[in-house]
Amino acid sequence: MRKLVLIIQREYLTRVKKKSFIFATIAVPLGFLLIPVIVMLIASSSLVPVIGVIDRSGLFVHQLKSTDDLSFVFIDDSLDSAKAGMLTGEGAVEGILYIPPVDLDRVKGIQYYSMKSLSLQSQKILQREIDRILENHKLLKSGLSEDLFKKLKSSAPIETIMMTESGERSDSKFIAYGVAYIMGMVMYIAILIYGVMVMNGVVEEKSNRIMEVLVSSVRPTELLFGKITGIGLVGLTQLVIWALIAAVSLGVTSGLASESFSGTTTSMSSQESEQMLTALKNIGEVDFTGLLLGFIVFFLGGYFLYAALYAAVASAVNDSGDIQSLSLPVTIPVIFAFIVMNVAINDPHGPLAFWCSMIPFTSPIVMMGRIPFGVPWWELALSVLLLAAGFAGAVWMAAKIYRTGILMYGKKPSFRELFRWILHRN
Amino acid sequence: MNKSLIEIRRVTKRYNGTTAVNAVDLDIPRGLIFGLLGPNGAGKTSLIRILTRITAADEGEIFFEGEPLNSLHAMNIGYMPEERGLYKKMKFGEHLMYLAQLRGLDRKTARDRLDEWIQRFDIRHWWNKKIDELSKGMQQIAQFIATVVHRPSMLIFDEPFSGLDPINSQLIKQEIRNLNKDGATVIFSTHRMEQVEEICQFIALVNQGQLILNGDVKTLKQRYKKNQYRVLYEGNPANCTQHSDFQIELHSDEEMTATIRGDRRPNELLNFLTGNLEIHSFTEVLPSLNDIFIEHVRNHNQK
Repeated sequence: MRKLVLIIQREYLTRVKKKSFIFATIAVPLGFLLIPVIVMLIASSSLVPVIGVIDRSGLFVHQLKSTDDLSFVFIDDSLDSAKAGMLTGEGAVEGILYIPPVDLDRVKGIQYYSMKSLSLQSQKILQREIDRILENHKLLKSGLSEDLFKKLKSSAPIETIMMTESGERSDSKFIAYGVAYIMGMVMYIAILIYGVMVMNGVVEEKSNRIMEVLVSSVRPTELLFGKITGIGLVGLTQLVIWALIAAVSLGVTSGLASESFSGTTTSMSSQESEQMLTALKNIGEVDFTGLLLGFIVFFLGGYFLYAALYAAVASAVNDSGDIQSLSLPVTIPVIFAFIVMNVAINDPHGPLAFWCSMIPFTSPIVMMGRIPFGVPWWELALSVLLLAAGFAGAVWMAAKIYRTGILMYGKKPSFRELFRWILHRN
Repeated sequence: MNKSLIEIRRVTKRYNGTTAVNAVDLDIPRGLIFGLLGPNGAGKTSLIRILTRITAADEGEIFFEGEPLNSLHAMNIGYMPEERGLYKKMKFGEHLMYLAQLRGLDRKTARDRLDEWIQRFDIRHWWNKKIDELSKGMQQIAQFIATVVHRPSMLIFDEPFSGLDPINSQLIKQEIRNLNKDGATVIFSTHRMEQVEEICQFIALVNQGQLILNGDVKTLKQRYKKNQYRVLYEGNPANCTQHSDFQIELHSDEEMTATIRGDRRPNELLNFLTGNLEIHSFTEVLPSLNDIFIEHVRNHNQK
């Protein structure tokens, strides 16, 4: 036991003290925080396309208004000269919207000229604006009073309510989706990163030939457990720090955001800002403690299972070159689980999501994609139980392979040989 | 108290159909420097791994000071494997502290013992250096200290001098002798005969997993000697070369090898020679361990 503690200590401290660990722990979340900022900066620096409008119908003046995404300039010129101006680059417009004199009942002949095609988003906006203005004109023409017309316009956001055992609460589906995706993703990355860390640790011990020195004073299983536990603690440390940084920054941004939304709602329609506000409010309703607890339980289970398998294959190879082919069968289920998780967040209670959140090889990642949508407690309990059984089996199997593998130098063993090592009595 | 530190009883180990250790019976006497010899692949390392409990024997038993070998004996064994390495990124001091504690010492004792060794080798400035900043020879010294720091009663060295320069070899050799003087039994596995000749008092020779010879070095040399004498002389040896019981082989004008056939005594040979020549020196030629090794392995392989 004392030796196990020593091994765990060494595995933990040598990694945590590394500059690369400190850098990754601090820099990665900062990077994630910076990405949206950078994206926003780039997006805001791109120019809003300016569209020149030649309106021969007279229906669009004062109606077609510039938005954040598109800007309109009315041109009092002939189409031909405007086109010529665009070709020589004088007009500084992206394109020319030509509206001929139209009959409201049979509108046709609206054309858009440009040298480069409009983005899909801008095209949609343009279409929507034109349709809206034409509809308005038609309604007014049909004898509707302007008052009544304004009354008829409606904008009603839908509030979805989720029914749970503890009562009804407003649905945080939008948030749940995001949280599920992020948690599944982090789980996937965490299992791979720390699993591979264990693998490399074993390969290192084997290739620098310290293994035999170690196993003359500690049992191979102690060495295996010590390494997996030590690196698992490294993983938890890193994840907890990331979670703290995320929680703090989330708190700060949601605080800032709700302040700025309640202050100025000019740039967004009232409906959009309403949605954003409820979404942000809902973040507070998400049970983060429960999620974190679930994450830690499934992380430990999944990590131990895969770390043991990675350690087993690593113990069988001689140098890092051979590790690729042997580790692939271990990596494939992790990737498969990630793919299923992407499906599961769209259908969290479907059969694929259910079964894959029970199978120990996929359950840690897939379950993360389901928990934010609410999973019955018996499913959670069963999944944890199966995961525990799976991880115990994996560790037992890995210990058998590991014990034989660490002292084998020479040719790379086949999977059949690995299987024989498992069955070997001592 | 048992005379033997280790008793090996019919120990067998098989790997995938090959028998690496085949029913070996061997006693390792206490307090000696013991040479475990054999060609490459003879089963030396397999036997040592069983002694250090790294692997278990398929059959047979081992007794350590009369008790069946168990995990408590790990504290009494220091093993320096042939395939030895260290964590490259760890610091020298921190690494040795780790290994010393794994071998059962508490922090304080580990630190004190390491300090003694560091003083003895005068290597205090290594303490905060990373292992990969040290030369290969320096790493070997670190390995050596890690092997002996817990003062085990049995030390096992597998090819301890491979990769060491003559100065460091000498240093380590001297330390091994000192440890032996202080009471440790030393097992030495090698196929370098000149080293064995120099330090071992007792040897066991294994080949193809079987023990083919073991015993005290002096006794073995006596047993396998060929009654040869190296003679330095002056005079004309022509009259001596025809004797039926003494075979004479001339090497130069002043040196010859004389072999006694039959049960003639060495004094008779000397008398015969002094009758014909003036003798300056008369020494018995004992077989080198190398000769015994080669002869026995060859004979064993032919069987």
